Amino acid sequence: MNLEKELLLKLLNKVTPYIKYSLLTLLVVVSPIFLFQNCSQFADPNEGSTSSRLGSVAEPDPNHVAEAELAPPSKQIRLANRRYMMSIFTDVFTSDDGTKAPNLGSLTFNWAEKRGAQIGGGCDVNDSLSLIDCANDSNGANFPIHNDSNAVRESFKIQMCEELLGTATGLQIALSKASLDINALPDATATNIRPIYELFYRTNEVPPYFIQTLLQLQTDLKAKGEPAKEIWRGILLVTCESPEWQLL
Amino acid sequence: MSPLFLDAFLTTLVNDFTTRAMAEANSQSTVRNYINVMMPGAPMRYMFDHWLKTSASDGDLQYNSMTGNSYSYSNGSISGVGVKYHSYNNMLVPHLFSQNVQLSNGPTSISNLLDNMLVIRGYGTGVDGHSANSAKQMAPLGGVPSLPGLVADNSSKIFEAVQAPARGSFSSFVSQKGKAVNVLPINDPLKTLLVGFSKPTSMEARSLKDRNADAFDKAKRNLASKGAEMNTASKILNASLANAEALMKKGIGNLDAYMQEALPRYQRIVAEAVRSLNVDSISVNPIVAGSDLILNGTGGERFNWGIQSGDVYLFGPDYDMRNALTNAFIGVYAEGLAMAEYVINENLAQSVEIMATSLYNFFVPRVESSSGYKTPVGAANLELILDMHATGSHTNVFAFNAYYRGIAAGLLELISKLKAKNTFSNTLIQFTSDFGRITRTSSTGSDHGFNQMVTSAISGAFTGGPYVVGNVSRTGLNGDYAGTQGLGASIRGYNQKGRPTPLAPASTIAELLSVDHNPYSNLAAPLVKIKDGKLEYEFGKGAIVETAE
Repeated sequence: MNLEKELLLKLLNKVTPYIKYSLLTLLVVVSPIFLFQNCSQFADPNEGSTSSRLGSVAEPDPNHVAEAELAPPSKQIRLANRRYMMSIFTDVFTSDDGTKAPNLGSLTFNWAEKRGAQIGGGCDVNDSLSLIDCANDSNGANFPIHNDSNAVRESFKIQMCEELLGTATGLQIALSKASLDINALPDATATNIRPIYELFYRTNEVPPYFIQTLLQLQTDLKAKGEPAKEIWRGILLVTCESPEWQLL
Repeated sequence: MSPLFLDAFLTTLVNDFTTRAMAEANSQSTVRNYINVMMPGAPMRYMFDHWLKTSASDGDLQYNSMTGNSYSYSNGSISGVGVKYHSYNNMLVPHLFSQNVQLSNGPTSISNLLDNMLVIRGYGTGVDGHSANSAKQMAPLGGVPSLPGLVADNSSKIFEAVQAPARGSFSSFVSQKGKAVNVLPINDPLKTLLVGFSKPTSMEARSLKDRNADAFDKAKRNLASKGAEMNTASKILNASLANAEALMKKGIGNLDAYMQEALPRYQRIVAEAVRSLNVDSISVNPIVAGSDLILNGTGGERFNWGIQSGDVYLFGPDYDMRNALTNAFIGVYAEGLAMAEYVINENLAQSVEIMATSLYNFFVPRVESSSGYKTPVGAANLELILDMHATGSHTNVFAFNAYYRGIAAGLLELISKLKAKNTFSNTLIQFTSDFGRITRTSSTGSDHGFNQMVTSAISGAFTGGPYVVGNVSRTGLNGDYAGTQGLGASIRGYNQKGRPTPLAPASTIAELLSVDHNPYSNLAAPLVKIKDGKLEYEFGKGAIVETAE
């Protein structure tokens, strides 16, 4: 009996690779037939096709392989253009009583409004203010409405963040827009970081990792002996310079 | 079918699509650097890169003196204009390539361009128009990127594309990824490009970041990595931010020093090449029309010595034209070359559009006028505009040999600087203009050659040149436009019937640029391909055919 078992096992071991290869061959040969059997749009209508006879055109089967809609990511990301950028900075750095951060107008003009080539947003040559909008250069009319991500626009954004948060007045205004008093700054918490985030991210919920990162920054800056004002300047800087708020 | 197999199949498929989309989004490609040099106005190019007869087997041309590149003499005086060839690597090329110029590292032969040079000729649009024809060569097909846009779309460098000065309607920058060209003023273009990377005027925030660099870097790294886990867009955006911050940290401290050295260097090299005399068969002997011809000549003959500078001028009687170049220079060329060298060698951009404009300060003394031509009021430094309708054959030989000496010298200097940084082998430099010229048999000038177009490419990606593709007709047109002048003709077996359009050179350039996908090739196949570092003709070497059909 043991000998029979042994022989049977040997036989099975010999046969198994053939079974495996047979199954694999079957899979390779047959699977394309399954995959493409429903490609009736490529078939000659005069010849007829299996799929037509099965009525797949009239009654698509959502579970069928070839009916499954594969949607590769083909859309471009869309970023805020120069006007949006200018509006955000103008809003964040203008207090409720109308006080503006120093040089706010010239900074947003220099780093956003006149940078259609990098940030996107063509000027309107037919506008009554076209001389200002296009800066006497009709080439600007052909800039795309939106532009892709690029390092130059990031450098412009960093310039604006650093310039506007680099003055006491600019910092004070931005903090006040998040209901924080520059003369009585609390420790950063998940609660008071949220309005900072919302200054720039107008439509998003603050993700937990964002809060965690800024709280860690507070810890690190404290350890280096930075005062509360500088810690909040840092929190604002990192938020302002983070690029995702430009995503539309 | 096994659900597991199906699942694995779909996952593989989607992953592949996603990877490709990510690669596209991140612009991971091996596209070559592209420098386009435009000569707006469309100068005559026969003495530079509009090659007609390139081998003895081409037979005799039907001669048109406006295509000449040297003088013929009788008793020491100029008696006419002829074509002088230089033989290089079994190819006949214009006389210019037998001349030398002085670079920053010493004298060099213009023929050094030829190993890496391809001429694409014999195409046209069939329609007149300066800007339209120029733009068609940059963007020959709607719905797909232009040549500079194609490079930008395939590039991952810090700057997508740069153009200086603005080309306006003479170019059309089209990107399929929404990228825009950085249009820069020719006066200090690099400063304009890099201004965002300089230090802010208010240093409080920058100082805070600098003294706590570790903490800020950690925070930004954390936001970037967590953001990337959330979505692809965040990954792309943070890559741009990282690029910007890297360049800010590296600084652009070398920019001012570079421009102080590079701009005068290019200006000097180009100007010296333009102004140098003693060129064989051109400026060894005096170049004098003679007062009798200038003042009393009849018919069109005196206009063989005409100069197009807005109005049409003749220079003064018995004036040796060699004195005209004492202070001559080519407009905006040196500035563009200096910018191109910096952005390519500093790895900042791969799509660069520059220009070479008119020959300026061409000195002409006062002519005591008789009727029929304009006279400068007193002596004048003229601008020899490139749309050279009334620049006659005799003036053309001298003035435009000088012009192309300057073009070649600047180009050779740029190439030597690219070679020094090992970037030339990955760079292609293309010369374009609005169109070619249609040449007058009367030798009084030339007009718009929109069926006689030509472009050339110089690249370290291939050697073994010179190469020429595109067929031209031995005959010209009727009337005052007879003679061989580069009129485009069909190419046997080519997938454009009849005279090729600007799609043909664009497709060829795209092929040489090694873009991931050549968007023009379905309609116009590349005329050459690179194989083992040399060019292979796909439809044969350019030939002279009997008629333009």
